[in-house]
Amino acid sequence: MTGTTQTIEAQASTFRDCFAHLKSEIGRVFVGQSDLVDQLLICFFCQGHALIEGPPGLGKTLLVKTLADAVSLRFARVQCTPDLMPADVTGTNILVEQAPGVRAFTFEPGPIFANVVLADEINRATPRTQAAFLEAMQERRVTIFGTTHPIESPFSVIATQNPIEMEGTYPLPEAQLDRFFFKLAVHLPGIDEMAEIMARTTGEQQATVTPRFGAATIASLADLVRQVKIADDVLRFALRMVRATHPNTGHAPAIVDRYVRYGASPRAAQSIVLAAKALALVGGRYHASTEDVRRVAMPALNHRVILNFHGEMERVTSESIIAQVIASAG
Amino acid sequence: MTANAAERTVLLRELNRYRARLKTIASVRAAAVTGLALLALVIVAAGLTPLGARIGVAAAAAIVALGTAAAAAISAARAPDLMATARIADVAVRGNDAVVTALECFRLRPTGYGATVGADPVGDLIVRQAVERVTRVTSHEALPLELPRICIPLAGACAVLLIAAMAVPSSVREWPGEESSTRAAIDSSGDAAASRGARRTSTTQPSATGAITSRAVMGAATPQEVARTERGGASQRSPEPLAGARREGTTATSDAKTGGAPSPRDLEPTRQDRRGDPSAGANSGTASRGSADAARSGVAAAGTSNAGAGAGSSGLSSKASAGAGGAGAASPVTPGSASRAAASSEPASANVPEQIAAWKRAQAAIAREQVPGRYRQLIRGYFAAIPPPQPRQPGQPGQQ
Repeated sequence: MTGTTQTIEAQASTFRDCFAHLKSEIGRVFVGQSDLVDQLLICFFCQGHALIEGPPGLGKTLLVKTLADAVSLRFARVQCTPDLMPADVTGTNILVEQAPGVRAFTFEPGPIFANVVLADEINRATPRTQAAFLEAMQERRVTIFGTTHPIESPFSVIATQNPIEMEGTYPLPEAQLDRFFFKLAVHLPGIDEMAEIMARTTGEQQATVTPRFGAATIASLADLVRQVKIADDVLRFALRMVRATHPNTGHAPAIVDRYVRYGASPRAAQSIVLAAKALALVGGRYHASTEDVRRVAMPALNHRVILNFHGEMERVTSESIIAQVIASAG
Repeated sequence: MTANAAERTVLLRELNRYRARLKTIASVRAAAVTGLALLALVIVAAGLTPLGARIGVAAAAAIVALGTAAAAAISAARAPDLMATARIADVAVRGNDAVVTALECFRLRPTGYGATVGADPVGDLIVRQAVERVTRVTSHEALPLELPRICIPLAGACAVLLIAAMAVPSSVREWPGEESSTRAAIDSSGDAAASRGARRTSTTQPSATGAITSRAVMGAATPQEVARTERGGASQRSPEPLAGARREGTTATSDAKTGGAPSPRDLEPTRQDRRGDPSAGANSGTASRGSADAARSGVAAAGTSNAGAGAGSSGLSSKASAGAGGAGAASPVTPGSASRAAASSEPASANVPEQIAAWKRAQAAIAREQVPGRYRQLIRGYFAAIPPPQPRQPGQPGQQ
């Protein structure tokens, strides 16, 4: 427990300001898809990693870049290709001539040491390179040549992937998918939104983003999220929901028993609870509610439900399964 | 007390108010449903069953009131605890689980309420928000009293039943024989003599149109029962044992003169009984017992006198020597009276084959139609009550 009620209230107010600022700044560049922006920001304030999935040209990279521009944080972008090596992500020791005739190995940090890392088209990287992200995403540190290098907070990896071009790609294994806090889907904008996009991007003036809030502020706001309370009833509701994604557990709806091979892990429950807390702060509350849990369940669960053969063959989507899971949980 | 502690006190007080309100609502709802259901049951019982006809208005009202009060008391006793109240209040005030979380903030304090106020600023803020939520509306506004939906159909059913019970005449609501059997059972409270007396009337007096009276259907049984009926019927007419027995002799004679048909005076107790007069049943029972005593004394006095065997109208009673003989013995045995008795026994004796024939016909019909056991008594009563048409002999007095 930190601070007094006044401190907490001030921090909560800052949280709401920051959230509103980021949303408005992103909205100046990225048109529409309010839910997607909200979920990305919640993931960001929870210090989680997001996987944004969508066809090319819908602004996935632009969204992440705008987010990084709107806060005064270090931003790095990794364009994942099949020849991308792990050292290109994590960094490596290089021989540096420190003085004439004096050479030594010096650690040269890779792009993973930024505050916001964009791993563009992560499914094009080889599994070896994808694995290089694993330790950094989960442990928030990188070990190179026996030396562990911590990653500064705040830290978020936001990866994108293209679901329709599967040629020459390496789909992320389930273990790595589970490291992502949220999986967000970018949908095709409507006519009005596309017209707005045309107006903004094909004219003379380009929208600019004003950075505000530094790393320290973002880190303190992330701490504030963890102070938000969640009642036992609400917590159990979230856990029931996670439990219901597993087939043959007695809690699962029929569609789960039929089409799901393996359900969500406890890490999914952690994501749901943290995201619900952040959403509560956005709503001006200091406690997470059942409704918050419902709202964040879909992005937290939809990449953690693994379909079985029947589900794949009948093209059952994980979204439809999770919708029934949410409904059945109470 | 700090501001935070005051807010916690306010929250607990409001929660207790909500709890009291929930108690009230649960009690009223349970009372409404139970009261209406009981009312419907009482109406059905009073209107459609003969037993219900005996239930007075006061008793019915007492049943409804007691049931309603019991339901209300049980519902009040099963009121939700504070946490359940908080959940309901959360839904009612749209608190987004604020009240539940605030209440949990109390319980998470290891040192108890009020001792660590200020140590959990987030908890205090949650309590403040919860207080704002629950005090924004009163418990009456948040938890309006709404009767269960089933109350409307229940009330409608009660109204329809009440109208039907008032509109349908009582005779339509009763099955043939239901009234007599039930009322006889109620009136005499186990006094078989009264019902036997009633059966006597039915077995000897078919209605003028040939229809079966309810008593005939329910009452007539075996010939032995008919004989017993005669004794009961004879005694029924005389509340005073000895005097009744004396009168029985003269009455029997007059009955014999009229071909065994009972006089209107014979039917008098039966009519009283049909009207459901309890005193009539009681008198009948007393008379029956008194008659039995008189019969015993008659046996002692007259020994084996069988002259009064035809005291009753049934010829079968002549085979039952003791009771009928008692009735005859009580009367002064004079040659004249003996001859009148012998004369009067002729038509009664002529009734014996008729009864036996009816009995045989009934048995044959029962065997032929494979009548279930519960209906056999009715069939026997039917055949006993309606004799086949016989050519009237000249000089024989006709039946009324």
